[in-house]
Amino acid sequence: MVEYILGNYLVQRGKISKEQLQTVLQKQDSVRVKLGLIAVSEGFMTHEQAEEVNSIQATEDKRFGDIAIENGYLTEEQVARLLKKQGNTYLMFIQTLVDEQLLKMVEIDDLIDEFKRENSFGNADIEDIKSDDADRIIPLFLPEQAKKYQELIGVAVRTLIRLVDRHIYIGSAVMEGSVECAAMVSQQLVGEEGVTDYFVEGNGALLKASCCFGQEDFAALDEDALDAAGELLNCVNGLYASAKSRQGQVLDLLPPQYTPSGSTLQKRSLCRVPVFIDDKELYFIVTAAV
Amino acid sequence: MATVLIVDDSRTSRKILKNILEKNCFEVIGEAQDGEQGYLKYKECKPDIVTMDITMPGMDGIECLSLIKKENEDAKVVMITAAGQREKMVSAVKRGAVEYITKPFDEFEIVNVLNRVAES
Repeated sequence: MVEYILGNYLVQRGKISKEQLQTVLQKQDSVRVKLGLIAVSEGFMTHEQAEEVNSIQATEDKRFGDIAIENGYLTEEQVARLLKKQGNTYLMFIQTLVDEQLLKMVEIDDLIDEFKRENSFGNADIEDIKSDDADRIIPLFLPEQAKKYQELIGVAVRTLIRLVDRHIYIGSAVMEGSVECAAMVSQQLVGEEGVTDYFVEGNGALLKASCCFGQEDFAALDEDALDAAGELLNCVNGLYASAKSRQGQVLDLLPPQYTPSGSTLQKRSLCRVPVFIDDKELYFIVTAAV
Repeated sequence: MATVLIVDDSRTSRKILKNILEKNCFEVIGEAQDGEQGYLKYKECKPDIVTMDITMPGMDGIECLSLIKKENEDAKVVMITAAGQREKMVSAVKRGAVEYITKPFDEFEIVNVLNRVAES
């Protein structure tokens, strides 16, 4: 996520072009390997154990390394060693910018300082962004009133990263009373702290997510594509309900609803989070259930 | 080759599940998109295994499971739902479901569970 947040800032500032950012991201991608794969190749885990961890990840919103430790397949030291081998995304991004002779290290440092000032971030916030840890980055983009939805937004972002595309990042969330929406899917989670959430099309990211999750090339966000988007939202909410049930709360999931033609959402308070997949945008919206 | 009836309101889920099952030597002999249709299809094609989504509009998976078990108490019904619906799973198991699978689908888990059910 860090490479997109900083990379897009550099594009906005005219320091690199969109095409140059794409080149940097592709180079970075070509050397990044999944943790499970490194664990198997290092002989720390068997293929079967890695598969099992992947299966558990399908039902629990946890990181590969954490599940492997819980199941006794890896030690904390081994996970730390594997993460080191996998590489730090921020450092890899900076290194590629320098290797491609797009920016010098000193220029990057200055630009990060400017990014920090423009966004009123502190040193700790910048360290959170550099960590590339979604759990540390997401709160930086949420207004105070949206903090109550932070856990659900975190599950949504991590699920999109895992099931749709690793190249996902978010923009600053806003609280609104009314939102004009294009095609969308929604689902109600019924319970004491019930919510309704939505995936709303922006400029193509929901279609992209539907194609990826539905394993089909949809030409448009028609009924079938929205069905795939609805199932994706169902998975997000299932994982969230699962986390809540471990905290002693019961949330019942109603079937997802589809609105192909879009409509205006009007609630007392809607939290709208822009989510980007490459250059395309969708919105994840959350509101307290009435 | 074990025969399977897929009951799920989502076309996407039916398609992904069907692909996984057919790739792994199961024969999908029917599909239904709600509980009512699922019960009728069950009576019509008598599959070895039914995969039953729980959350569906109209007649849900638990109601359909009860009808199928009334029709044939030995019916093997595997419940399917998003994670986090433990209470519904417990209710389904009480009504005779043999196993359950959570979404998103994981090929490894599905094949393991359905092989186990087919052999039981």
